[in-house]
Order: sequence, then structure tokens, then C-alpha cells
Amino acid sequence: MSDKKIHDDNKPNIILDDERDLLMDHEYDGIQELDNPMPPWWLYGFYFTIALSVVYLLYYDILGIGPDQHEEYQREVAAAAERYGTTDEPESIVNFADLEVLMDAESLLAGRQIYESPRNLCTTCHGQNAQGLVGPDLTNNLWKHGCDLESIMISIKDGFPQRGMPAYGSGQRLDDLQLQQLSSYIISLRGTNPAGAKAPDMSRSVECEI
Amino acid sequence: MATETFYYDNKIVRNFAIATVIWGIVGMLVGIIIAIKLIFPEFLGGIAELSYGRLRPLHTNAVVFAFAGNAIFLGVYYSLQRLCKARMWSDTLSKVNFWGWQAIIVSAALTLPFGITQSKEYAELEWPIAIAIAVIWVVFGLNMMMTIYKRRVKHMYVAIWFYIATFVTVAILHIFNNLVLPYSLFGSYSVYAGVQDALVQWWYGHNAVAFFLTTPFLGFMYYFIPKAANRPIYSYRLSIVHFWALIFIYIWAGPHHLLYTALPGWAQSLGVVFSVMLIAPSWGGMINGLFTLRGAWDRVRQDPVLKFMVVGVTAYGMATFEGPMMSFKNVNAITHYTDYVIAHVHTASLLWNGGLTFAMLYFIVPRIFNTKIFSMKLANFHFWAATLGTVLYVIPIYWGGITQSLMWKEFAADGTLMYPNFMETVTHLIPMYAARAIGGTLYFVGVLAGMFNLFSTMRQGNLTADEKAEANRAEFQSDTRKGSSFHRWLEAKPTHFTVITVVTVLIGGLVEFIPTQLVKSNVPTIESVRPYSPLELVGRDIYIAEGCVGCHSQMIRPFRSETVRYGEYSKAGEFVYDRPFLWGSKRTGPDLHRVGGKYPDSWHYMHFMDSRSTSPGSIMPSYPWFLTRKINLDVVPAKIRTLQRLGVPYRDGYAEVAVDELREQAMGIAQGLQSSGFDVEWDSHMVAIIAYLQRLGTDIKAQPQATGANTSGANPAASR
Repeated sequence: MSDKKIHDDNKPNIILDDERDLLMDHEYDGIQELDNPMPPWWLYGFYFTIALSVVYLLYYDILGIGPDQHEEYQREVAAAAERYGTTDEPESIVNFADLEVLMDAESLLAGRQIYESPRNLCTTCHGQNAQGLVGPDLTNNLWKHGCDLESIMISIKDGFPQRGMPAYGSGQRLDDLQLQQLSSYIISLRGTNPAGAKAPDMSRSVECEI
Repeated sequence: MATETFYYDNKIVRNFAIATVIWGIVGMLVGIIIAIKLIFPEFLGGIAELSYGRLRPLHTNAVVFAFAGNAIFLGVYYSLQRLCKARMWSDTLSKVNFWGWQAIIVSAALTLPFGITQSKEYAELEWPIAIAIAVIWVVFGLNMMMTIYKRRVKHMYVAIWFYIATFVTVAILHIFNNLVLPYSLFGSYSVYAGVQDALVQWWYGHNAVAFFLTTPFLGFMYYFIPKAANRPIYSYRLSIVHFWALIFIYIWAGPHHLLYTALPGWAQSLGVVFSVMLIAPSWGGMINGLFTLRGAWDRVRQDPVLKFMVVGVTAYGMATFEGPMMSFKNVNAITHYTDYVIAHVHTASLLWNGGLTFAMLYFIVPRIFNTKIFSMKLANFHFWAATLGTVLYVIPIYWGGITQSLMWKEFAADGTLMYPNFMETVTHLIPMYAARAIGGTLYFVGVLAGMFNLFSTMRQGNLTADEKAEANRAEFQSDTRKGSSFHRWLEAKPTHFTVITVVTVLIGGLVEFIPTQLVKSNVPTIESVRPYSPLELVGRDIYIAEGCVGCHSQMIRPFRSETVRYGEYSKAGEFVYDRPFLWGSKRTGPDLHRVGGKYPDSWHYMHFMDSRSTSPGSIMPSYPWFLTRKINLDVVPAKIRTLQRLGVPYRDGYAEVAVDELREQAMGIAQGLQSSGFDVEWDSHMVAIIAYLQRLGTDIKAQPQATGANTSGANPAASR
């Protein structure tokens, strides 16, 4: 039984006519080998990658002609500064105290879009309806840093990094008009009593009237 | 010249075949579960042991070490006996190899979901299991080498060269990457820190791919393709050149996993150029496999063994071209940290490793059971499910990976990020994750059909447990170098061959590692970087146990798109107390290296309890057990002492006061959370992990202390 095999693994190999001279005289468990030369495209491709590697190492590391990653970064930052202006913010020439709360629908819609946009991260801490999550409820009259337009604009602009709020909420800069629109929108939400409003932190909040 | 009669051990081959199939099913099933979790983050939610971070390493370990690992033993035990014309040297060692390896796999399944992990990719298993792996691997190697010494064939066939390279290199890699100092039975700290740890890990990680998933399978290609096609190997010369070139060059390429990181630039460059030089040696294997089929392509149409082989070898060729392309720094800048890498890996693993494994199974099982494949139709179905499943798997996430990377990098007209909220780049990928899960499931259905087919084949046949064979003992006396090439001579000398192999693979690792370890300028010191406080250390160990590193990197690359998003790019000197390093290799979530101080503690609390409450659309699971699980304070002094032994500059006797300092810092955080209305115990996991996150990346911002007074101890206040 065990000697009768369904699979005959010792059939002679199929050798093509043009291969007979290449067949080597050894075999392993019936496996034979040809002595074909290495394909030239393969061999020269190998040499090419070796040459490329030598040039690469010379260029970037041994002779130091190419930039390292820190230089690349400095160049990228410099190019961005040239294109978009310096990263140092110019001092605002607008005095926030002179501005008024915007009431028109267009401005309030713009403010709302800024508030809800994922790029500014307002909603992640203050909630979709400004009801407060990690950050305080913005719809009541209890405020920690002032509730007038100027105070709110300054609060947003500078943030409270130690308390977890980056400048502009997300660190992404808003221009003065956007700040005014956003702050006006927040003021417009006052008294809306959203569902699930967060309880105020009475130790630090003061009643604020506009 | 006497003809000797002997018997091949087919029973051990059968056992490894069954283990391969069953572990393959298990490993791939876990893969499907975590793929679903990326779409529905609360799928199987709320159970710590089944969370994504803990299951992902279980998936990788199961498919690499359980599925492909058993396949390696399957292929070697079958082909080596026949190539050597000898039974395996010791039946006892064969059994120890088999049962020891299965026990290791079971112990992996019993530790990884419970958060017992070293966190280094593909080297997660803790030190007692790592030691067991080393022992069983040496048992395998000993059994193999002794069989080679007892062979009845004078020369070693090319497949055996690859087996020898596999054995010695995996042993070296495994031992050096697992050098840790234990602080308990289930915990340890790496002897390397930060940059060095990263280099050693990816020297290992890359070469686990090279010498666990590539060289043994090339050996199988060299045995099973000519056997199945009945054709001679295309070029003996090519096999010599590509073998030595492959094992010499492969070992250098590890740093391509660390491009644009804090690894020194020269080491990165070596990773780049050796990856590029690897194209030809890899393709040498593919050419020799495919050209062997010259004149036999009609057989490929009929034989599922050859179908799987051809698609597998072709996928190997594609992946080994794609890999070097991804090693160019400008390409890597796009693909790294994205799902592109996952697609790349699965092209190779599903078709090359999976394909060759199933080809072997369809070849071996009918032979040792002396029967035909139960159903050709089903085997063909398996082949098409595997091929199409893989295509369906990889295309969506190749696409998704590039999409996400470009979204990360895109700037608006005013120079700010177009997508500053990371979440937008995640929610965009969900449909692609869904398509990937469908492709993976199709592959899995194919494997189920394969399992049924193979087990039915076993049932209809009878195992020839001891297969009779005859051979003449080769004339070893005529050993002389005269009249033959040096390599021909070497092929008859297993000891010389092994020694030269060891030297060949050691060179690259040593050249890269020694300067990184010894030359100080490679890791510039940063004065303000301090060791972790005991609470932060405990939090870090929770971060490790939960597998956070599977989705979050801690390595900001020097690109403007990253520094604008995350903050200052990461510096080598910031990681000198990181044992193990946690740079990560995938950003399913955002980088966390500068998360310290970015959000208030209460934000983290809410985010851990329900990430959607603070980040709508997030696919991070909830971690409710952070509130109920308590820090194990008893082990804290041992952790400190272990780190002191490794050179971390905690002051003398710090271990004795560590728990007090931990309590003080934890109380502060807990009180802060309580005052915000969040009920939390000071010794909960929640407090520790928040402490760790708030510390991350902040040292560099701290003003260097006026005096060096603080260098003697951790500074708990650094977290706030």
C-alpha cells in the first residue's frame, strides 16, 4: 500500500532543446539546474543601483553637498515665510475697544461658520451649541474673563494655554474681522439656554452684563 | 557504494500543516475584527482585552509567527529531509519544536490581550516568552543542522542555503532586540533607550521581514516550483549571486523605517541606499522562480500549486520593487505613517507568504496522504478568492494612505493648514477602511474553503507516517577544491557555509549600531530633559500595555506641515529616558509627542471616556476601565530600581520615596479633575495616563534650571 504512489515525483525533468548544453550534472531530490548566465539587464541594473548608492552617499553624507533634513526644514520654513509673510504676527493696528458687536445676519452667519468649522476647534471644548463641555458654557451671563466684545476677542486671540485653550482655539490664526464676527456670534447666543448646558464654575465666574 | 533504506518523517510535516492552517484562520480572523473596529470603533467595545490596541499585536504575531512560522517548519521539515536524503536527525527534537512552538503561540494569546507586552513591533512578547522562543528556535536549528550533517547528498541545494541563513539570522536578531532588564515576571525595560532602541528595533523589524518572511520562502520557491513544474532551475549562477547579495544587503536596510526621524542622517542614508541596492538581489529570486517555468506555463493554468506560486512570486517582485521606492526620502515623506504601508505589507504577506504557504499545503498534503486534492474546483476558488481579495484589500488603502498624507500636508492660500483638524483626515478614510474589510473577508473565505479542502483531502487519504526512501551514501572522501569552483566546494561544507553566513549578516548591523551607541554627537544632549516621574512612568507603561503606539506616533518629522500641526519637531535628545522607544510607525490618530499641555486634564478625561464627545467622528475606542483599574503600587520601586540599573539618573534611594511622590502628583491631578466635576480616584489608570500625556514633549519647552540640582531626581512638577 505505502509503496504504491499516486504522485510520481521522480519523473525526468522537462528539458527544452536549447537548454541541453546548459544542464548541470547535479540533481537534488530530482531537481536539476541550468547554468544560464545572469540576465544582463538584471546584472547591469544591479551595478546601476550600486553606483547610484555611491553617488547618493557622496552627495548627501561624505561630501555634504545635499541638504540634511534640518537644512531642508529651514529652507521650507524660509520659503513659507517669504510666500505667506513672516510667522511673527504684525501688531494689530485695530483697537478692539473701538469695535462694535455685529448684528447683521451675514456677519453672524460668518461667525457661526467659524465657530463650527473643524479648523478652529471651538466646538471640541465648548460644544456644538456653546453649551460647554470641557470648556465653560458660553450662553449664560457668568463669565471669567469679561463678556464684552473686546474681552472676548482678546480671550480668543490670546487663548488660555495653561488652562488648555490655545490661541485662536486651535492655534490657527484668525484675522481681526473674523475675530469680530466670531465674538459677535458668541454674544448672539447669550440666553439661548441650550440643552445639556454645563454648570458654571462659581468660584471663578462673575456675573457680567453688557 | 551501499544503498541505504530510510524513512522520511511525514507525521511531523502533517502536524505542522494542521497547525499552519488553524493558526492562519485564527490570525486572519483577528485581522478582520480589528479591521471592523476601524469602521465601528465600539464593535466589541468596553472590553479591555478585546480593544484595538491590544488585538493588533495579536493579529501580527499570529499571522507572522503562528501562521507563517508553522509554515516555515512545514516547508523545511518536508523539503530538507528530501534534499538531504535523510530523516530529521531527532524525532524528539522535532516534537519539542512542534509542541514548544504551539505553546509559545498560546502564551502569546494569553498575554497580549492582557496588556503584557514589550511594545516593539513583532517583538511584543515579554521576556519569559522571548526566552522560550530563543530556546525552541535553537532546537529547530540544531535539528536542522544535524540533519544536514547526516545527509546522504554531498552538496547542499540552494534551498538549504536559505534555510541556514534563516536560522542563524533570526536567532541573532531575536536575541539582540529582546535584551531587556525585567522588573517583574511580566514586565521589563529595554537595555537600549530612544534612538538606539529605535535603530535596534527596526534592524530587527525589517529583518524579521527579510529572514522570517522572505529567505525561508525563497527556499520553498526553489524547492516547490521545480518539483511542481518538473523543470530545472533557470540559473545556478544567479542563485549564488542573489543569495549572497540578498543576505548581505538586507541587514543594512532597517533605518528606512526611520527616515526623517531623530535617527542620525548618515544612518538614514545607509537605510536608503541599501534598500535601493536590494532591488536586484530580490528580483534575482523572482527571475529564477518565474524563468524556471519556461516551457511549463500550460501547467500553471491547471495546477493550483503553480498558480499560487506564480502569483506569490510576482507579488514578491512587486513588493520588493515598491519597498525600495518607499525608501527614497521624498516618497517616504508621503507614505510613512499612513495606510499605504499597511497595503504594501499585505500585498506581500497575503500573496507571497500566504500564497506560497497554500501552494506548499496543496503540494504536500496530497503527497503525504497518498491521495489527490479533494476538490480541484474548491482549490481554484481559494486561489481566486485570495487573489481578488488581496486586490480588493490593498487598492482602497493604497488610495486612502496617499489621500490622508496629502490632506495632512495641504496648506490653504494663507499658509495655514487646509485640514487643521486631524479628524477630517480620518473620517475621509472610513469608506476605504470598509472596502478593505470586505477584501480581507473575501481572502478569509478563501482560506476557509482551503481549510475544508485540505482537511477533506486528509480524511480521504491515509497518512504515510514513515515514507520509505533509498539513497546511496555520497562519497564525502573526494572532498577537494580541485576541479570545482570555491562555491561548489562550500556547498559541501555546512560549517564553513554557516560561519560565512553569520559574518555576512553581522557586518551591516554592526556598522550601523556601534557608532550610534558610542558616538555621543549622534544623540545631542538636551539639558532640560529629565527622567519620568513615577506616576508618568506608570502612565507610560499603561500607554504601552494598551497598545496606543499602534495608532499614535511620538515622532514629529521636520516638515512645516507637521510643526504647524503638532509643534516643534522631535529631537534625538528628548528620548534618552524612553525605554522602550514609542515613536510608532502609523498615525491612525494624530502624533502625540507634543500633546503635553495642549488640552486640560478634563479634556483627556472626557476623551478617554468617549472620544466622540470631544472629537466628533473619532474612531478611537472608549477606555472606561481607566476609571476602575488601579495602579499596582507594589511594583513601582522595582521599576525605579530597574531603570537606575540601566543608568537613568534617579537619585540614590529614590525607589523608596517613589510611591510617595507618585501619590502626591496623582492627588493633584485627581483633585483638579474632581473640581471640574469628574469623579476619579487618584490611583486609577486614568490619572496615571493623563500625567504621562501631559508630560509628553514638554521638557524641551522648560527653561533649563539655573543649577544642576534637579538632575538627581525626577521632577514631578514637570507635568504641569
